[in-house]
Amino acid sequence: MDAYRRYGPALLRKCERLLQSRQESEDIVQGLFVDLIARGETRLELPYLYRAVTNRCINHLRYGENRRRLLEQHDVALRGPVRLSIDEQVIGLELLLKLMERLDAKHGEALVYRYFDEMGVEEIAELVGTSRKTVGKRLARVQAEVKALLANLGADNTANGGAA
Amino acid sequence: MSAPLSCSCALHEPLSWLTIERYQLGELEGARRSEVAAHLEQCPCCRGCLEQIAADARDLPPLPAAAPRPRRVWRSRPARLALFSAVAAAAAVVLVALLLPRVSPPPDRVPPRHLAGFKGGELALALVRERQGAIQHDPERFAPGDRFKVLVTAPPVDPPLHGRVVVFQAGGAFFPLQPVELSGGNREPLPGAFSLSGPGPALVCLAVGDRPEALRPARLSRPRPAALPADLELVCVPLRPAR
Repeated sequence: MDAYRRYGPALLRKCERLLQSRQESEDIVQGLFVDLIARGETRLELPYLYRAVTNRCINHLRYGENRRRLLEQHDVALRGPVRLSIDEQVIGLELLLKLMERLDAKHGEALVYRYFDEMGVEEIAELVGTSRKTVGKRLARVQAEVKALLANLGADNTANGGAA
Repeated sequence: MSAPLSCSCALHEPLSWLTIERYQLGELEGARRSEVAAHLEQCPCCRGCLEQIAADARDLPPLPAAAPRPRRVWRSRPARLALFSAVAAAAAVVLVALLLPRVSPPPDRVPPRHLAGFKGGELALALVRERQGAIQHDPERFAPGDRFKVLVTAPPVDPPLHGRVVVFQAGGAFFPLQPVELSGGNREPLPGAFSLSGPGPALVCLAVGDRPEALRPARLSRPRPAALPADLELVCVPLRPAR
């Protein structure tokens, strides 16, 4: 499948930034393409695949067993260089998992696009098919949750990394 | 735990990873491509991201065009019974005929209340086989070197149930994948993959219970599915060795 050869590496890198696990990222990307092949979908573009794999990663992060395993085995080097943070707080895996417990799917998706894929508001709005205003509201909620978590738990317990 | 590397975009709003990936793939055109090129020239941080992508050579397992999806063999109890009837009527393969009665749950098995949502064929197990790069959905046979992924379809359930893949073969049971939580989904792949060997048929089952302790290997290590504890729900797929 041409799309797999062409876009598979980019999707793996994206999954790895989020999950920080090479094996589990491979499973998710392969699972996505297995399903796409089964459905006969061949005309695929990277933005569409980015969104599809984002939703699979978010679902993966919501399983308790996956969460425990990722926390035990994750490789922080796979997070890659980080260019965006919230109040100088990089969102690492531990903080991400806590946020996913508090956020619904749409807010979780906005969180991933902004702080892991490092997209701008306009790019996120175009990708998910909504307005910039809506994306801005979702990101404001994400930022409020991060601040609330850090205030409750203390930066030392929740941070995976340092300042940007 | 070490911290991830951080850097600051010289132009304040970084290029997204998606944009950099598309730039690297040559998918940006015209003014947008020029904008991105100018950004990369001025910003060492974003340029470093591009260099990291360019240096990341990947060796992906091949995924060729899919074979047509065949009829599902073994999804629910009605399907099992239909298969049993067909096999029994044909009386073709003694081995399969011996295997099937063991697969049917004992008639007195009553699932616990928490598992009631999975009754009536709503819980489904499917396999995907990779053999030398070729993908086969719902395979019927295995050979050494094949790689199997397990896909699970389950209705939404809260709190989540717990599942474990058990492979019965040659009078024994083994557990090729880690236990998982099941909260519902459509053909969700379980983490990991496994291989099979040996000359005899195998039965790949998903055992589902309402607590992790119900799926301890000591409880599941039985010679055949019918001998499993009655508080578990099962869905199975048979596999035969390649001719």
